[in-house]
Amino acid sequence: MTAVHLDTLRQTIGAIEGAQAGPAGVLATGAHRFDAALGGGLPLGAATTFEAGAPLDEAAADALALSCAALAAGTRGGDVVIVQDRGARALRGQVYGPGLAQIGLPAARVLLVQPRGADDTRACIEEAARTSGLAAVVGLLGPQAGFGLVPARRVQLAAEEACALVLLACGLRTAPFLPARVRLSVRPVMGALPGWARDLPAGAGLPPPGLPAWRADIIRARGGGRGSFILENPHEAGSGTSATTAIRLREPPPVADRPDRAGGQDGPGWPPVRQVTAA
Amino acid sequence: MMLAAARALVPDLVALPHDAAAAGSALKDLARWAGRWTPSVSVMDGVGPGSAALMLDITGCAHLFGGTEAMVADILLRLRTLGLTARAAAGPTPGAAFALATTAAGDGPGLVMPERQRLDAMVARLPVEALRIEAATAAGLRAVGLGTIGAVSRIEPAALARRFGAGLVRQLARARGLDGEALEPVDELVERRVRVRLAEPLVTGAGIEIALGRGIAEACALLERRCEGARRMEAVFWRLDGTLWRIGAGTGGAHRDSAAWTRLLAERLARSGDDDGNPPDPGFGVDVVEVLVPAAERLEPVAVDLDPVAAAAARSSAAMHRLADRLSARIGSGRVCRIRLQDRWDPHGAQELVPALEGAAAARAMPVRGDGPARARPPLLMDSPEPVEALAEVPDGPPRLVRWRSLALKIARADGPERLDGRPGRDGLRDYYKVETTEGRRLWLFRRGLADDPDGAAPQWFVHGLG
Repeated sequence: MTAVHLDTLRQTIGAIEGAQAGPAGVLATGAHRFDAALGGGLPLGAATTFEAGAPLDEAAADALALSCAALAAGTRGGDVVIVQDRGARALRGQVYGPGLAQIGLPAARVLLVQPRGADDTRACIEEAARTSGLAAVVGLLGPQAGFGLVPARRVQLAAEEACALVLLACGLRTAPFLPARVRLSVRPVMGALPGWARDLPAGAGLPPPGLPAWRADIIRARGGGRGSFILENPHEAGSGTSATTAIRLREPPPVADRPDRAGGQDGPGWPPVRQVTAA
Repeated sequence: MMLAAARALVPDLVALPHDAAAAGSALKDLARWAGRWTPSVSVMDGVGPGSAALMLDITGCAHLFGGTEAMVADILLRLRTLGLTARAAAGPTPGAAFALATTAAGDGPGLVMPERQRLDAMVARLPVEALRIEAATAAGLRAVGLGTIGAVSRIEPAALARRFGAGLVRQLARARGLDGEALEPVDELVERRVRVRLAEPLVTGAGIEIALGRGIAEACALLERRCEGARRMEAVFWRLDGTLWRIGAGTGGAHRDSAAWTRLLAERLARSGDDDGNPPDPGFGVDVVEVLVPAAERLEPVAVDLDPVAAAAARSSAAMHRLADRLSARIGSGRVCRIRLQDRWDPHGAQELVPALEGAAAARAMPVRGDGPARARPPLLMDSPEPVEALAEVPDGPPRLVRWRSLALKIARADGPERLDGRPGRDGLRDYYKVETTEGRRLWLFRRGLADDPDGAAPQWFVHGLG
């Protein structure tokens, strides 16, 4: 069946569903292959979950969710509501304004909500998802703050109504958010070094940290495919503006990066990377 | 009568000590309940036990209840339904009303504002104790043969003041209706007030919520006529048995959107029953719902922007304010915050969380910087740094191996040191490093102390930020 056929079928189904659901749309990240695998981009009017791929990877999942929120703030207008569960705060620390500014999310556009318990966390996320005109709703969930079927469905319906972008970051012990349109498993990876630091002579000490980078495996993407992508946040620290390019795709690492082939150098160190242009 | 004599007459008499504090608070509750007749009700402390009274300022209210006489009868009737015995009287001044009430029959009709000359005659017959004076003063008056107010009032005021003090003269003038006094109402007078009276008492939560919505809609219409918006709204629910619930909520910016206010207060109502957030018990029902607007601001009608982009931005900002209000009402205003960056180097001081309800005013007062320090900072900061074991280059190099929460991490890249002060007065200097492990985890670590410091303790490492 050709792509044209598929498109007409999708339109037909969309027209049938449209009576209830309405056009939701997507937020394209600008990383083309990643967008295509998600079915066009991060889904609006639905939830996307960022699940830690391994123990203690929750901070990486949080950082990717916040980077996606930065992207939404740069392209959608409106404010970002961050709901941070108490359990998440105890394990991963509190959301920190100066750090947000450096991943491209101006602190002045953030409303930080810190509920007492898991029930309040779910209710606050639902309430925020119901509000139209927000750039994104980010939920940083601790182990207790997982969603059962009923509260998850309520958030899903609220998000559909308000065309909200709901981003939920959670750990391995958090009950998964089942109606999520997109589920990503996130692990941190070493970021690309800035150009000047790539050819430092040996003995010059450790090179500086690279760009924040993550490996995102698509567990599920309705209307999309599967795949594994390396994303990075190329936002210039200290530029003070909101990012329209908070997410960028990096080419899958060449063979030399595979752990079994990596030499015994001082840290594997990413080889120079061919950047995918966002054109 | 002595207690022993009373016990001799009634063997199974129950005697309890007078609990002044409990009586005071019960009287205050009763005063709030008496707000159904007039907004200005105060508790007048008596001189001895049992001499306290409720003072209702009924100026301009009596005609609503069919005149003073009918009003006093209504008050006595309603108090009797609550199971209370009361004596009531209306007078031209609080002092006169008090003096008359002391002589009114316990279960008969109340005394009503008499004519000037009749008042003089009635007050003159009263014993001196009705003047609300110290027991010692009353005993002194009786000792010189002045048993009634009439006898005292015939003495020259200057002579009375010399012998018994100026207080007696003042009380005398008050009781004779010649001198008023300032009363302090139990609740401040709220100008914007709407009362919904219900024909039948409501016992279901949904019904009470509908009545609340009606009251709020009326209050918002009142505000619209006055070109005002509410910053704070309160609702009082009157139960049939004389108890009152009071709930209230505030917003970050003044508005008069009745749907938003109803949601806000209904949210509060549903969780106001006890500390666990259960709905309150309506008992035999709620028969009056009152909506008060204690804080309002001028709010002119705004022209709708015809530019669709600007209109959408305005709608979005309004929706954001309403969301912050609702969340604040639900989980407490201190938990819904705006982040304000500060020009400070110590990590915890660099951001200040401002409750969103105060945010609008605070943002106007001080411009918010958009960027913050240009140095690397993590998006997540620990409330208190976590101690870790680390192997580091001596004397002041970055760590190479870190054991953090049972993970052994090999550090591949590091940036630092950046020397910062800790919290003022806590623990001196810290050297911060932003590091990346071989797996790509990003940590913000710091070291306290130096390896080659002969006096100091061994250096300690802490994780302070993630991501």
